[in-house]
Amino acid sequence: MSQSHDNASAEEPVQTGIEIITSPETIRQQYLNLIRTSSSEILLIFPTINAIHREHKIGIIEELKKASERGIKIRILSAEDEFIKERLDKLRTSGIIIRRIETPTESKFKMLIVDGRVSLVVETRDDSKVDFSDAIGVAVLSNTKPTVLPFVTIFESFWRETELYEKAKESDRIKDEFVKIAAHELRNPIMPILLGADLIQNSIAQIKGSVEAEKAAELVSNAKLIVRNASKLLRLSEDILQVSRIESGRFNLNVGVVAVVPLIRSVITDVEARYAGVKPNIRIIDESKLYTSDVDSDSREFAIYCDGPKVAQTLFNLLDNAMKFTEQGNILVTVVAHKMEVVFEVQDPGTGIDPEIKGKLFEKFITKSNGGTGLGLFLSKKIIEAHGGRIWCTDNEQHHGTNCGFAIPLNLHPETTQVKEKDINPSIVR
Amino acid sequence: MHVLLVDDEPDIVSVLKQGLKLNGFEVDAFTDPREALKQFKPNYYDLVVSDIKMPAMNGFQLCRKIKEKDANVRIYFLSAFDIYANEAKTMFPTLGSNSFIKKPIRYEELAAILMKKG
Repeated sequence: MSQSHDNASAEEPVQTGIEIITSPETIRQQYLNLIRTSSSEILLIFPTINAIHREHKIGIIEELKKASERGIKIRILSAEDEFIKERLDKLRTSGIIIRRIETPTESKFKMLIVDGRVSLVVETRDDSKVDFSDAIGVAVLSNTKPTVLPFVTIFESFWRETELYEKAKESDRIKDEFVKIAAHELRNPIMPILLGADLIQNSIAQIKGSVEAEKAAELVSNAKLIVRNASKLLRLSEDILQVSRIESGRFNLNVGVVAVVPLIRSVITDVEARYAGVKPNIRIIDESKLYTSDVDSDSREFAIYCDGPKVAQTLFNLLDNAMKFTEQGNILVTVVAHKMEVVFEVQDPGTGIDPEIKGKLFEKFITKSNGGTGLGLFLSKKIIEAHGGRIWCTDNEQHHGTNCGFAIPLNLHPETTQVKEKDINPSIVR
Repeated sequence: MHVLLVDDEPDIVSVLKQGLKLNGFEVDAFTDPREALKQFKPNYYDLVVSDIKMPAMNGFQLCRKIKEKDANVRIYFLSAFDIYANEAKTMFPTLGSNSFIKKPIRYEELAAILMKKG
């Protein structure tokens, strides 16, 4: 222990110095005393949630409340979660200002500064401990300006940083909210556009006999153009909605038992419908007879746990991409169960992956297609990753074109769903 | 089948009315839910197709009042906001499973939903 004497105030000599305290009991007493004797301001950092629990047990929270009632200005930087929020909110209502800090998992000290003159910095030795005396290590108590002032500066700069962080978070939230509402609101005007174009086509069909065939064809083609583009706008708004869900953490999987082969068939039917008459020289070959290397089962009953509509959306995206970049030939769709995974793959004989975007295929707004949203593969990747799976797109070495596929684990746990074990083919999920 | 159609967007009302008529429905349409309620004829309509987010009176309020006047009429909600789907189910526990229709929807699909009971 080192001490010095400061005789600045002649009538009231104040002892100043730096003291290293090792006894947990002394630290506790000093901690409480400093709060009790504060006369104007308390600055405090609670580095972890556990620290708040421990401090509550030794009466610090109670003392802080009393101090606030005495009119002491108190600012606290604290870790916070939904469980501790209630306790902190009680302090907030008593006039204490608390800001949330995003602490690194290992924050090694707590800091108390009283009246800008005294600081107590306590080392955390083991944050997992329940009791204050078990958790803390050495403490340094100081009332010399050169040691206290830097701590005040540290606190104030944390305080400002937290304010900026909160502002940034808030503006992020506002942005998410805006995107969400905008995407929803887009759906409204799309409806009359789509239906209006449908009505036009209907009317054209009725007057067909009385107008020139060429004129009628022209009108139909223009009405179809409206439908096509309104549909694209709709897809874009749906994709943007999904991206906003992902980015704001509101993206959930709705997992259930899904029969694989019918899922693939319905996706193929949808894609064929979209390209009907547009790409007459492409055939989609459904190879989903299922080659199971380690499962002997009837493919018709082959079922996996997944979010059916989202997996279908992913497969649709891959197949849709294959169609876009292929002019003629066969597109193969395969599915294989192998080593506790089910692997879906789409192989096309098309133009292959544009080297310009090869490294960033799965990023947002990356597209080389005319009319793509650039969100398809980004969303597909998020969907598959949410299933704990993998997704890939590679050049097809043998016959040009592209191989895109994804794998979903077969052991997605039944407990996470409402489905009972017996509902699915026991030979598949073991 | 007699349909009461309510949506505050005149363009949506216009296209839906025309399309439903082409599909064989008889349609009375309103852009003001209060007016729809005032003109409501009990034991006449088979179906009510209503938007949810509307000024003056929302679709839930409207349909609750309509149900008081005619308990047998089948209710369908039409909304671009899927978050209302759960709310609709809580407020109207007797709603059929297809009674929440997400905008936009094409005629074929809409007609199929409205034709199917339950």
